[in-house]
Amino acid sequence: MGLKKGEIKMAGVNLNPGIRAPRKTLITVAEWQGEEHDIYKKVTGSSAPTWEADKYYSRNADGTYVLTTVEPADWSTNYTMYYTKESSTRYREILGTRTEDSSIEFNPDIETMTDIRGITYTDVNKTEPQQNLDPFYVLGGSELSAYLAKNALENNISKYSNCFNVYVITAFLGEEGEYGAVMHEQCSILPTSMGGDSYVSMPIEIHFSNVITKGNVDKLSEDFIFSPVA
Amino acid sequence: MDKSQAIINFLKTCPTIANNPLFFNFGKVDNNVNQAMIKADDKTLQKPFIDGSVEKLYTFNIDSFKSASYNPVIDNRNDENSEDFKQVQEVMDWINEQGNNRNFPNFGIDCFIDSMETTTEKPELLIVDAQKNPPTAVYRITVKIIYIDNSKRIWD
Repeated sequence: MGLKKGEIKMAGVNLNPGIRAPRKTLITVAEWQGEEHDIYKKVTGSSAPTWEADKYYSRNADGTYVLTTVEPADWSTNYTMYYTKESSTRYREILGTRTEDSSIEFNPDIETMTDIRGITYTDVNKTEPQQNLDPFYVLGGSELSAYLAKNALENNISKYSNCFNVYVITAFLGEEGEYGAVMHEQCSILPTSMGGDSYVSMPIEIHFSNVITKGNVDKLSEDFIFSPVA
Repeated sequence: MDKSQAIINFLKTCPTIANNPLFFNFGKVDNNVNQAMIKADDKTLQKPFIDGSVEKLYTFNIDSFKSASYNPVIDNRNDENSEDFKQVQEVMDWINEQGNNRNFPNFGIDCFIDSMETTTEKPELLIVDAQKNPPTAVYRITVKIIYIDNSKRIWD
């Protein structure tokens, strides 16, 4: 039986007709370039690859990766729980960890006119999409919070002006392996303050550029592949 | 991951508890017995985040049973009641030290423990059962663990 209209099945989330889309299915991801670093990609494929020593990593609850030196007993069945490592200058991070509420504000610039017949015309001249994240905690392991904190304190405005790609992934649209997404290039992500009470919070504003590429992503993790569509 | 079993395994590493019987939820009331008791945590206190993870609470009590003495405190003589209380305080101090060192119970790969601490600075004297022979004092420590449940987090 194929999918019914409006029914999406992915990562344990089902969206049947009449069901509200969970907030977690609207995902904002920041991407930027920096110094070369290690990135980890999940092992994929329909069957387990041949085990090689010192190639595969497991992930701890705190997000750190540990090299697996001995072939795990569950390798043939749980190989997708392991990762490979490579170097990259690309950084990606999901936005909203430990944030309870955040929305994309489209900020339309509208003009209305009512003619003598009483008909109202509304012209939408432009939009200036923006998303605020408050709180946005400085978290251990968060490359983005470290990057923004350093450059904000050093007043390196150019390091967060127009230098991010921001993906908005709508996991409630599309199928598993092909989630709808748009990519905004040349976005700005700027810290608006830093401090708080018990923990360091650094609220940020994401200013979308509207330089949009429509496409799909193949998975909901940092190593997703974005495929543009016409 | 069975969190209650994780708590028991964790408490068994406490030097003060390891040398004495530890019961879970119900056990024999005797001198130097410790009893770990789970509490129900209100779901309305949970904080869901926009990525699907949820901040949750896990609280439990440790009741320590100590035989009570009727002897008054006299200079230059050890007071049994005071010594027993210090032993219970040692358990509390150990738990807070583990929390400060981020040495937590293992709640499994999907749960990230944010903090663990006792809810008071010193144990509470709950009751003295004078009908037992010898009388038994019950001291209570309440432990609060805040953890992030990532099992429903949509991002891998």
